[in-house]
Amino acid sequence: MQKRENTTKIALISVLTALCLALQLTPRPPNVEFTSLLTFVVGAVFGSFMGVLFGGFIMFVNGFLSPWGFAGLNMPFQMAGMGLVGLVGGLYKGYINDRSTFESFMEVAALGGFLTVVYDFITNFGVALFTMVNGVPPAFALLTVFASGAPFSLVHVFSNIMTFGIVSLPLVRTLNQIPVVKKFG
Amino acid sequence: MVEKRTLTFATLAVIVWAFLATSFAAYYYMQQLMVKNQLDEKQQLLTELAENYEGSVAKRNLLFAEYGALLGEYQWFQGENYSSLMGTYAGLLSNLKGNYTFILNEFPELNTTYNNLLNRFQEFSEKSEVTKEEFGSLLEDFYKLFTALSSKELDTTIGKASRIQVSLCINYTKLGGTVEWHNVSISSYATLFDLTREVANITYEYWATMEPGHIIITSINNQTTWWLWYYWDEAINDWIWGPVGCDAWTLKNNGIYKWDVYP
Repeated sequence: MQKRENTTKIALISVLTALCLALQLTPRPPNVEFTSLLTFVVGAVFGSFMGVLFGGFIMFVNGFLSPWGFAGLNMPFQMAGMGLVGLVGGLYKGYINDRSTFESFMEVAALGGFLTVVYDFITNFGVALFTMVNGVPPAFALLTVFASGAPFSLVHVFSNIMTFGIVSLPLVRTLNQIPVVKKFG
Repeated sequence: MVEKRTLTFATLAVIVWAFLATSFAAYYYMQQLMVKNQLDEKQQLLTELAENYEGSVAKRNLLFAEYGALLGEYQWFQGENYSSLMGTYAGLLSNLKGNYTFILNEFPELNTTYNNLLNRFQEFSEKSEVTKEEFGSLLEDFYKLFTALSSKELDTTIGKASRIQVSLCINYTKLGGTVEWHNVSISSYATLFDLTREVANITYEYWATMEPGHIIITSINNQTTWWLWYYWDEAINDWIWGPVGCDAWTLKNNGIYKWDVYP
């Protein structure tokens, strides 16, 4: 019985992984993505460990197959950033409200925005680090990378505020209704 | 009393806002810096352009005055033998070389024209008598070269500030090769000869009697044959055979040119 439920759980996570990869690898406007949302949801449903694993794996695959090209040396930073989103999803699991109030939607939207900022900070820092290795002075490297990434960060943060605010809670609740998740999630 | 949880998420929202605001302040600063640098570069270029232009015009006017004085002497000359004017002509020729050394070194076709003129001058100098026609032809050729050099110098000066995009096709298919395309950004004063020299190894012949343009390309990238040039006429959508020597054809922005084997 235990083995069968584990198989069902793995199958569900695999479906979510495939869905997430399909969305991530589909050509789309820069920095509009659903990986953060799905990683957060996986963390919130299956726990921090699974969230970190899920986020890291998606970014690993994305690093090679992204429509925006090979991630290269920034890949570990992307994996760490997305792993963090999964980790926070798992930590947030215990704080999710059962009631669908405006406040709870705003709350998760703010959290989505914050996680996106942290993710952008980590990945931009990764880019700046490799610019520094190439001989650019640290302060200048950080300033130029963060400054040139500002318009992209804006799109990223706002799109994630919207997706987290609107989709994450209903999705977590829907997934929690699946028997195997209810029992072992 | 505000709930602790609400306060936490409000703080997160403020952090998000602060991050975006700081990033945009940095973005704005960088953009301003970039625009300022670009403006400074343009300003410097403009100043250089104005200085070079003034220098070129002053030089041209000085030489033109010398040439005008000699032309006047020639026209009012009463005798049959013009060899007494050859000394002044030698000075004029020497001044021309001194003032346009850079252009003569940069553009081999003009350098060849200069050397041909110098040879003719030396040939006439060795004669005891120089006729009116002979000296007249020297003056005429000097004027042509002088105007070519001065306009080339002005073009070069202005060309630093403006560049054009052109495409050059070299068709080797009749030699068993392929068609080669070169999309090039080049100074707006450049001729087809300059462009061809930039993208390929060439050899050429100088034909003094051929005008306008004295150059005939004899080989491109070690392919020796009869090379003819064409330009693409957008009005009729067809290649038009080059009507002048390639060194006399100034390129236009987005122009398309071709070297092809004849026949």
